[in-house]
Amino acid sequence: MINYLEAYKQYYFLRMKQREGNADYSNTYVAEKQLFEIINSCATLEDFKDKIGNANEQVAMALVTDEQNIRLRHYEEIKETVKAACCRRILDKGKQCSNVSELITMVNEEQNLSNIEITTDTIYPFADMLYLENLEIWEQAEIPAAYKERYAAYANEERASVKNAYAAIEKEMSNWQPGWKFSFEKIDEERHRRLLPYSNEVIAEQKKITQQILNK
Amino acid sequence: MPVDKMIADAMLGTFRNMLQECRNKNLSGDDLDAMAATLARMEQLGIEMDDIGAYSGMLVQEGLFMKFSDHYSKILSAAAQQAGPANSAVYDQAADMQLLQNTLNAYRDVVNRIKENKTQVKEMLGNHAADADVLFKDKIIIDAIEQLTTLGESGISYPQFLSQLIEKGLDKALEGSVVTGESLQYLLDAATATAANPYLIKKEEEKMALHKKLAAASLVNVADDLQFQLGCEKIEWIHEPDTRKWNKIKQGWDKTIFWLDEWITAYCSFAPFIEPWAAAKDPKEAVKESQDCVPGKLRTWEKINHRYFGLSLKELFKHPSFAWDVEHHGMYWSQEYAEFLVNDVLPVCVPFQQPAANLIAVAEKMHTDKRKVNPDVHKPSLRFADFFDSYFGKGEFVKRYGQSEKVNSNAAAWTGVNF
Repeated sequence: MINYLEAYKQYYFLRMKQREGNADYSNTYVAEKQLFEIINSCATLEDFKDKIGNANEQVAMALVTDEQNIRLRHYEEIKETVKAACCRRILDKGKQCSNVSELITMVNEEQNLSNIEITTDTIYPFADMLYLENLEIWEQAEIPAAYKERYAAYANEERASVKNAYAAIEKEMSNWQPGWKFSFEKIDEERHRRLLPYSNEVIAEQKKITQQILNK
Repeated sequence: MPVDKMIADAMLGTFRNMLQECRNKNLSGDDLDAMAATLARMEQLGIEMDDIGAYSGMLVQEGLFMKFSDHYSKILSAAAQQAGPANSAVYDQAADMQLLQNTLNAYRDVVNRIKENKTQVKEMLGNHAADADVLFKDKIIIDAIEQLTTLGESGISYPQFLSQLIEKGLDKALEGSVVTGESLQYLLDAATATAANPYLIKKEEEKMALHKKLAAASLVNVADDLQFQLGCEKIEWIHEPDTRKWNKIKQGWDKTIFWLDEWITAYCSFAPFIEPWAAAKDPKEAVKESQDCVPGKLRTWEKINHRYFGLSLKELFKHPSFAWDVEHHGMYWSQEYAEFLVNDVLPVCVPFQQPAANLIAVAEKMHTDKRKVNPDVHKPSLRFADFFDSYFGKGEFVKRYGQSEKVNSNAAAWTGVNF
């Protein structure tokens, strides 16, 4: 004859021990410990049913908290502020959730929002210097006078390409976030800036030229 | 005009199946109604919108995928609770069996879904259905689940079953089976065969090492999924700036060598009769433009690259990216022609100057002698074919994509970089 109560005590004990001593999962450990202590104090499984309350849900909520804290530390370390912001929102709002169902809905909503934020967190086409390089070549190349007019026309086409590229990205991003506008400030934010292999002077000059073309 | 039906079907097919699955199980209630309403909204947007980008954006903006999945989880969870003994006053053997069976059935459903998905993929792949066996490592996850069901059928109680999942690490085995050492090896082999740059290979090597390290730290030899996921993200983060710089410098020398070839070849007597000039409206005028304007463009390009990296055009060729491409047969031009362009043509390619007659003669001779092109330029394709065949079967690459022809070149193979 199986002693179900003892079997469940053993199961909850193992769950608790799994998290013991793991600093990353300290909240989960506390919640698991509480759950184990409840069942360990019970003389029957029916007692457990009466005493458990929302202790089981607290474990799930603690696990979400611990995992989001792990992610938050990671994103803070690599200075991925957009992704870190999602973790912070989940951690803040998680405190107000009264049950797991609410928590799951909130986490899904925040991750959906985060996906949009990540998609729209772009500095393209600035990151691709090709247009400005071509423009400089058409405008600055030392060439015989006979070609000057033709090259000036190429330069104008290039300026139009710059305008089209920025208009296209604003249209594309507006699909995800209505009214999205290209942000020149974003270029200097570390997660974007670190990916541009140019000096600050080069970036500042390219920004100035682009803003002049776009009248921004 | 609606979004293309094939695309809409691909995007919504899974959701239609999920709704049907709930109806087949006779589930009902607010969550089912919400699932149906959410799917109807997705279908309606697919009819109203014609731009796939705008359609995808709208689905995410309105959170429709998320809402659907949320209600799906809730309806299944409610169904599981109803099926279980939660409302029974006494936890007896029958109630315990019921809980265990519900859990095992859920696992069996997962196996069935994996098998169904693979069957669908095989149907899509048609003649190449066997590729699915290479690319989808479903055996490892199915084996892990079957271990669970075997354990569950061994006559133990539900709490004993749950305890043993922990003790034997079967719960972790299930989590960790999503990423396997085999799939990481495939990605590393693909990166090595492609050899686009060293970072591409290094990243895959580091991910593989991380996977091994995390698996070794686990009692059941399974890498922690969250740690692995974040670790991979960090590996990508570390190498991305170097990769971008590498590619930009490569673009620097690549465009330089392109223009040097254009300029010197434009002076060859046959220039108007070969590409790209032969395709121009007035080939002779196009040749003249190349002769007159390439040096000005090249020197502006030099200023740009100097401003970016403090490197002259000649110095760009000393960057490891050039030697890398030579070593991996990525260079289109032969060594003797590249050395001629960089050592002899580059110094005289300046605005309002013409190359000396002897340089033009060398270029003409290399052209007529067919010594301009790297004789090993087809080797990257062979390398990739070897990789492809090692996974999908001997001769499969050629069968599907054709034989990579050896280029008709009398040039010697590259032996090094002498700039």
